[in-house]
Amino acid sequence: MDALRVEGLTKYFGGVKVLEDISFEVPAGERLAIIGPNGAGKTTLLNLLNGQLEPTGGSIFFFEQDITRLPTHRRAHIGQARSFQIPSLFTKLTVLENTMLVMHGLERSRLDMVRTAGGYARVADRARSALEDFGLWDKRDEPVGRLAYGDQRRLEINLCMATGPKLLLLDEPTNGLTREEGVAIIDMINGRVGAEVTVLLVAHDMHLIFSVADRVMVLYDGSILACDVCERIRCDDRVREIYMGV
Amino acid sequence: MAEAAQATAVRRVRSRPALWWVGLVVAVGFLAVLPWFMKGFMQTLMARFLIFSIFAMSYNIIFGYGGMLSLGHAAFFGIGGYTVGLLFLHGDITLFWIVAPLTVVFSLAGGAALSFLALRVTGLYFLLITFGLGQLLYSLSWNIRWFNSAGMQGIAAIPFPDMGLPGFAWTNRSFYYFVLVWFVLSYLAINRIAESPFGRGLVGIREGENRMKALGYDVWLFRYLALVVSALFAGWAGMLFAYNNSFVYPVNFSFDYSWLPMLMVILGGAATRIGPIVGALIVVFAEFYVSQLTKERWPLILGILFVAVIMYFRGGIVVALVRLRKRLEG
Ligand SMILES: Nc1ncnc2c1ncn2[C@@H]1O[C@H](COP(=O)(O)OP(=O)(O)OP(=O)(O)O)[C@@H](O)[C@H]1O
Ligand SMILES: [Mg+2]
Repeated sequence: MDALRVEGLTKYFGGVKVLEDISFEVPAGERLAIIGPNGAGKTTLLNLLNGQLEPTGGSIFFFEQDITRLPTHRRAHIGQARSFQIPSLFTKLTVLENTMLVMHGLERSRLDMVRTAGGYARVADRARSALEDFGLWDKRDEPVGRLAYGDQRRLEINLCMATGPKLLLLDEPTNGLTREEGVAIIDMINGRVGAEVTVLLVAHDMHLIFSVADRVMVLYDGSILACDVCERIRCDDRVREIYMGV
Repeated sequence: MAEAAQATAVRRVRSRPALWWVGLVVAVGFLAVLPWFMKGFMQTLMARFLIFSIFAMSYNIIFGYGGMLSLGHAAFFGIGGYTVGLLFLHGDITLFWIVAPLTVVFSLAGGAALSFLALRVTGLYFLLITFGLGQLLYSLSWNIRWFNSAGMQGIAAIPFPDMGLPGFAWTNRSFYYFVLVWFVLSYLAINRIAESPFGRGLVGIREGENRMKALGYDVWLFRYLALVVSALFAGWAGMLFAYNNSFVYPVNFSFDYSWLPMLMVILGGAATRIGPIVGALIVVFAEFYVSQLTKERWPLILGILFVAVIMYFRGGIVVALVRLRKRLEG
């Protein structure tokens, strides 16, 4: 079954065409990397898939369910999780508070006004074991803004994976990291994400993504230039010319 | 076993230090013995301070935790006050057990309707529409005769509530205790809400709504519920105000009253537990003493106070004091 099926997706900002007539499928469990030069429309595509933006035209199906007009929070409840290009953790809140917000997001109890957030043994337990897993339990009371940038990024990506999503949408998870830190993030994704989880990953660094991606989609100027397995993308002349500047 | 140990470990991170409870008991004890050393009008002033604390705490829910700057919070305060006033004026109904439930009903209904309108928009337009809604109620209550006692603006001579207890008669002091009970209950309830998953979610939305949506939070619903809940407490404060003040006037709906809880919350410290109370204490007593010296200068002094806090104590007095203590401790 396809985790995602996109048909004729189009997005205009005012009169400006940013994505035009994009169609593709992503089988469940696939790791698809999306690359393309700055302004190609990669983030816009993720915003459409996760509902931050409404498309001008076209449809999006998530496990055969039409989600084209579904609000973002509902998409989270049916199994989408995303990370943003710009770090989006709440820097003023502590590591534990950030983690609890993630853990509560998909629970009915998120609307509970009476019981204290820490009183939920189950949710709190999950927060604790997740943080122990990430090696950040000792820093639970630190405001996230005080963590090293690499740690913030690691926590954010880890939290994305922690709620057991079916589809991960990662917008440049290695953005702003050193080469080694970037490799560590990719290893983390490789190591922690179950085989049944579908991953869409935007990245600039081609070499980095070849180690994780099954297929690569090249976006250029709002259209899909190529979408194929890594080896063939690597050899594609147009891709080499436009994207890698060879 | 291990799981249970883990759970308690996490809970311990969140649970209150014993000192906090001691502080609460001492503070309430202090407030409870105070009227024995005060004159009647002082007891009324103290009750006014506690009532405005409830009003400010209710504003703290939406502004402090929710990050929503509403300029029309007095709409709910006025609804509470006018529920008391109109029942008295037109039905001669003063029985608390009728007035109080109706205050709850009207505050919630008013909160549900007005907040729905206000949340059609966000940002600057939210500010404008909340301002407009408050002024609208102000104008209606000013212009419609039914909302006013004969020959005046507002409703006068509102008596203390009839508790339905044979032989019971109110004094200023007993009414102060009545208010104190509601103050303590409101304080506990509002802090409970602030620390609930809902309250935490509200803070998350304040910090970044896009991320919260992606995490599965219905941002609109959170904001709406926060406004409705805060309307309930604001309306309750308005009810107590009507009794304590013995009359209500159209200004209770207006920006003149909306700006008071805003000032109190910013002054004391937004999104802190006792900030709104500290703010209410300062504003209510400053108003009283300044007005004795120079009544017409009060708005000016209020304005200067506001500007000074924004410039030098951003985050409010409570936050400034906590910082000072941390610095002294090294
Ligand atoms: N909200 C918006 N309003 C108007 N134009 C926008 C908006 N968001 C994006 N754009 C434009 O759409 C185009 C695609 O932007 P997008 O952010 O999707 O590119 P990207 O591929 O993610 O680039 P980058 O590699 O720099 O992250 C850009 O030209 C951008 O200026
Ligand atoms: Mg981008």
